[in-house]
Amino acid sequence: MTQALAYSVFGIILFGIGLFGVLAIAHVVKKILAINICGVGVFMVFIANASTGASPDFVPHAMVLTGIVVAVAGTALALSLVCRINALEKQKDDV
Amino acid sequence: MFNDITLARNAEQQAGLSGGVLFVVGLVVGLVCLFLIFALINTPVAEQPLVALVASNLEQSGVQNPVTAVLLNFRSYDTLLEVAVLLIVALAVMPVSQEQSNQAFVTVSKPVQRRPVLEAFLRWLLPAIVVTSGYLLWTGAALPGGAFQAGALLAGAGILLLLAGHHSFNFNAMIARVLLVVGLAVFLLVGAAVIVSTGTALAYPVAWAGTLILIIEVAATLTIAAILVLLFCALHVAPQQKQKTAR
Repeated sequence: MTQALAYSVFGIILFGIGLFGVLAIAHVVKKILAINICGVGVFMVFIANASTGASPDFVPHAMVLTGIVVAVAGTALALSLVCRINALEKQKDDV
Repeated sequence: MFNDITLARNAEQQAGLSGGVLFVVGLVVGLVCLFLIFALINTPVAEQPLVALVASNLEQSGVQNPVTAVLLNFRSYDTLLEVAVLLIVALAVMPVSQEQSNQAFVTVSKPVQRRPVLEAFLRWLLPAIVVTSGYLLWTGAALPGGAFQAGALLAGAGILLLLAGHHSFNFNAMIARVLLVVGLAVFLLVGAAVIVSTGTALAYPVAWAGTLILIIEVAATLTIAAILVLLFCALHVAPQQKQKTAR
């Protein structure tokens, strides 16, 4: 089992853990965390597969770098939506 | 701050998931994982034609670091759209506040709760972070580094400054608005301006490629840092605000 393959397999396992979290956990914030774990797993598979050749493939590296920033932005958007929903539900309870 | 998020519907759903359902979900996810691993092991190693393509064109890209070359020259549409995505998210989470655009970007006030260790540490850390971020930006042309890493570091400096409590940012200020869009604006301007020289959008003339990439990266660093700090600001409840809502 080569190093790249080991990283890929653990990336897939991370993806599975995240997938289980998305499906099984109802709490929205934990669900967002689970989606993030999924994303990290995908990034790992990407990066690990890029290094299978003689010299590493730089295109997946650049794409993952872009992906990380977009993932951060997406998480922030999701969290702010959760905050908004929570505020609205509290408002509803008060009325 | 997320501790008090309960979401009424959640509680019911949480109670509804029985052990049997969890077992089935776990089984399905496990099977999916096994299938993916099986597929991965049985996939032959790809030939990676892009490696040779990047290596042979590196001299024309204006930078020596292949990752930067891919990010800002060969696949610059990706990076352009990514900066656009960041701006859209920033607009979506931007706090709707009473602060007006004519107020200052940074206001200094006495913190509700003092953190002496962080304050003293920041005096040493902040200049170091700014210098390191500039170094990362510059070195991105030849070594690992570039706009994202530099921007993330700068954003870290901004977040630490926020946590110390003396400073608060008003993202409705004119300077903040300029910072939020400068990356995308410069990228678009350069991308459109090179049409005059090469006839294709975002295809830099070889002689100017290094300079143009540096200009784009400087602007992108500022924008990425500003947007990441804004994202933190939008989700962060300042101590004095928290006390107000508690009363």
